[in-house]
Amino acid sequence: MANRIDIIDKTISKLPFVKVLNTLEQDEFSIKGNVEIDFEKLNKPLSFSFEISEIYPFRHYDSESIKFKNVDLIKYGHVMGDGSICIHTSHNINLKKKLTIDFHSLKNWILKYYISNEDDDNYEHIICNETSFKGCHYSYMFTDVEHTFSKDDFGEVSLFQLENGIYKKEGITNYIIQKFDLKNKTQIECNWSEIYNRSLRTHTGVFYFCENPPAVHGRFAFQNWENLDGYLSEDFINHLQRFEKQNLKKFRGKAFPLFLGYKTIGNDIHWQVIILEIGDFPIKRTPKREGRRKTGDFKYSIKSGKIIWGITNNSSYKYFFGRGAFSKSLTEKKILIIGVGALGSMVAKTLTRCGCKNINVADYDIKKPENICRSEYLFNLGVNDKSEEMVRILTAISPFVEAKVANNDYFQTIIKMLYDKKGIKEQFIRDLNKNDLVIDCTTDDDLMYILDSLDLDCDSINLSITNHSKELVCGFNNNIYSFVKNQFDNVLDNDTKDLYNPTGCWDPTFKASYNDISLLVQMALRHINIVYSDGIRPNNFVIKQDDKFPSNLIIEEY
Amino acid sequence: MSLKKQEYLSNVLSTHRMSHVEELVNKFKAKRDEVKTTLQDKYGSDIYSPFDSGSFKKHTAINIKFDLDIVVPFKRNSFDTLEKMFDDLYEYLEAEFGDVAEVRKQKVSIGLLFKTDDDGDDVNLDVVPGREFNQDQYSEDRKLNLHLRNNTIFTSDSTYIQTNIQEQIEHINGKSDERMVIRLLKIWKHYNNEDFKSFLIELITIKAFKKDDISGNLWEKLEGVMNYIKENVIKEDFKLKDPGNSNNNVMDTLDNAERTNLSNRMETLIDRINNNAQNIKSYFPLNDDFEDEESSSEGYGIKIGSGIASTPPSTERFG
Amino acid sequence: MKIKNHTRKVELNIDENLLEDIASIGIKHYPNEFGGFLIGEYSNNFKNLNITDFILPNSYKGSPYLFERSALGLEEKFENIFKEKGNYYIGEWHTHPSSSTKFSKTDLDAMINIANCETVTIKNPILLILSVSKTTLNHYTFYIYDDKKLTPYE
Repeated sequence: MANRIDIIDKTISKLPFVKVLNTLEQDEFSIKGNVEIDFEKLNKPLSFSFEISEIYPFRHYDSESIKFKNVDLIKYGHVMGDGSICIHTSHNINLKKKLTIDFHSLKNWILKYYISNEDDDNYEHIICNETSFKGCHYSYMFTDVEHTFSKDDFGEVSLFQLENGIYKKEGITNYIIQKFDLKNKTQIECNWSEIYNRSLRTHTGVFYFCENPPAVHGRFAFQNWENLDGYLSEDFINHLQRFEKQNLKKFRGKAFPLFLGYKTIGNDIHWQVIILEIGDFPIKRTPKREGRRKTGDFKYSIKSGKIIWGITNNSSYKYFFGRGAFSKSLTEKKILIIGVGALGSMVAKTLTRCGCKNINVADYDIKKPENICRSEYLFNLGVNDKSEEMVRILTAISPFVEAKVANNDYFQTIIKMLYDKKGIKEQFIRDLNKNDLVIDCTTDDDLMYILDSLDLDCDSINLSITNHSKELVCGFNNNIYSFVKNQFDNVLDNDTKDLYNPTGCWDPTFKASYNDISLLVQMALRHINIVYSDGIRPNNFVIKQDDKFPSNLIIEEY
Repeated sequence: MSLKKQEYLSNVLSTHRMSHVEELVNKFKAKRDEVKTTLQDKYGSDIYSPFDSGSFKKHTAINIKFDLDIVVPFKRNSFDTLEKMFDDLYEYLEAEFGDVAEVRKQKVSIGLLFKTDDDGDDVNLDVVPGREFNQDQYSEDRKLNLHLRNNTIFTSDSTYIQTNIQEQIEHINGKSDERMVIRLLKIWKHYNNEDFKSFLIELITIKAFKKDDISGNLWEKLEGVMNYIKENVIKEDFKLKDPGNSNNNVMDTLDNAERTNLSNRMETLIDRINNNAQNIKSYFPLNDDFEDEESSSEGYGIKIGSGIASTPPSTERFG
Repeated sequence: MKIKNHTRKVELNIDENLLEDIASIGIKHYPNEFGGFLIGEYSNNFKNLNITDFILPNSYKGSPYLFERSALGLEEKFENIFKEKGNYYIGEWHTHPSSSTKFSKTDLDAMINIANCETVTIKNPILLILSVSKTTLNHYTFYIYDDKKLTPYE
């Protein structure tokens, strides 16, 4: 069998645009060499060193196990700090083929970023080596604000601490940025949900908007404070100095974040955080002089020292839900979920994870340990009103959902007593129409009848499942009561004998597992989302098992 | 399946009979007569006698939703323009009934929504003004020009529509099978909030009976008509002539998406019901307000809404 | 055999053999009263009733002047008959040993209960009374129930 190094040599030598400059060398872990790349569109050849690691052609974590380097190319796109090129390539397990692919990828990089000097539409974070401070990492999440920062704006930020955790085997303290307090006293709230905005701030930091990234070539974050000289205004440096002085006694040695803001793509801004130590700010003072005489005042400026970069993440709605969300026509709706048992809790949670911004929940019931196995409730929250716990969970998932508890008694007693009383009925209709969508997951026939008879202008959905989770029945806007009742009473074979009786016979419930129910709920919500995003007429539907293959589910619209 | 669809549908029709709401109908008629009288007093020789139209007149009304229409035929020289005629009538009705009713301009008519009375009943009437084309021509052929507001009915941007309402009423006269199917489709439309115009349902049903072999029991007839709708509304050249004016194609009121939707709805309905007869109950519900009033004096009675087995009470004693 | 009731303008059909079967069972219980349930189907226009079968009670009490039957345990049977054939439980039959076929106050009360019972989905149940002796069927009368009254077929 031919030797690996020979195969590599032969394969790349055959490529018309590659010239192997010297004999390949092999050490314990890799094979190294130098190549010159030349093709028609290049004015002069480019040379790269390359290194192929032992695991090649497989990938190493999530990076390629072949590296091409040229430190002179650092100012071009997709080049790392050490001069290595980020090539976009594809999987292949055959050494020869993979080499061919990867060298072509290098050529593509040259075409795209060296010759055409393309800018990507995607923003790439500046590359900074995030390190811990005194054995602890500091992480901050920020979101959009309704404000346009100008160059040299600075001020304080209010921070709210989230949970502590572990990050790369060290401790991590997590925060969100709640508010920016501009020096001229304008307070800028971040677009989090109310609960995150209104919680009392726990920590403070400072921010400085420098407009351009604090980085070499716009990509490699400064490593020394000296690089920031000229970036930060004198005003700001004075402010920092005063701040340190004021807090020195109480907080000496503590970490203190400085957020540097800059524009990325469009109107987006990014905040990159530097961790300062109170008592060790990189500020030097030189006496001010008039002629040769000291005035007694000082001029403050940046002094040399290593920058400790902390962790920041853009957690704005766009990024938070960037990987997938429901259609805007659903997420922007004000949604009321009545009944947050097994079905309702899954609906609430899914809507939240899919970007819905306004969810009220109502349920008179208490969450107990036996509810947890097939709902979205959590053991560690103990016994709670279902609605209260659900709001906590939804809020914990998304910082963009306004989740509130609706009047729990409203749907159990009040509306049932008074729904057909003249004058009061109209009030109910007005109240409910304040929502854009009412989802009834109570499986309460009385309530279903009442909601249907109120003939609401807002959309309404009724969800229920038959025993053993065989079918899911969804009433969607029209003729809900008659449709759902008829499905349960006459059409579907709902087994009402084999129910689960937890305690005595007064509280029987259907039998089904989390897996059974959530499968149906997810499918129903997917369909509902499609109806909204395509703007098609909502029809009642049933999700049922295929007769031949019960694991196949089908949606039958009515 | 044991549910007899035709029996069930006949129950649906009977629970939606107008006779159940006789008192309400009488209120409507009283209001209608009152309005007619005031109109005759006001316009005198400028108009021919107002006449009744609408679903009630056509015997296609259902007791959950029905309207009484009054057509007011104006003479040619009564007003310069149709718009003036329409506005004058509106102003007069507003002045006369504005304190007891909401008076509003609709597409071709003026709506009178009387305030809810002590029984909780809402009476509403539509008054449709029309004008003959030429002096005395109406007495001969009954044709009228109607004023068309915010035209979205027909694709042309006309401000008037020429038709013959008498002819429209005649068109359905004596067609009792058609009427049953029309009423069923209106019941479906009402409960399921379907968007289709009753006039369209009426015309297409009559056309289906004419063009297709619609026969059998009530269900079979309904199914036949639904099939006809399903297959035909998506045909580009499918037309529904207004019996009052063959130049008006009522299919023009639907765009392509609406035609497809109507066809799809029919397909779903037929499929679901044939798949499981019980589904008929949610598409065509009984009017449960009148389920118990069904006691005719002839025939064996079946309790309405049953369609389920009959089982005797557990213990009975005979002497 | 076809008989008519003029009050409700309806007809009733019963196969003579079926009637004989019923009678012979009644005779067996002489001198005590005995009875059971009647099964039938209606014509499309609900003007005609065809009695197709009968069902005997699982438990009953019979004396010369009283008959009490229970329908317990038979629910499924009635449901199946409906599911499979579309036939209804349409009424009751019992014997009057050595007596007329006139109905008693007890009989009428029972029929009122039946018509009002929720599980009974028909409105005009039938009552068949058979006058029997030790060995033979003397005569019989079919009644139709309507609005708290029983009227005979002719």
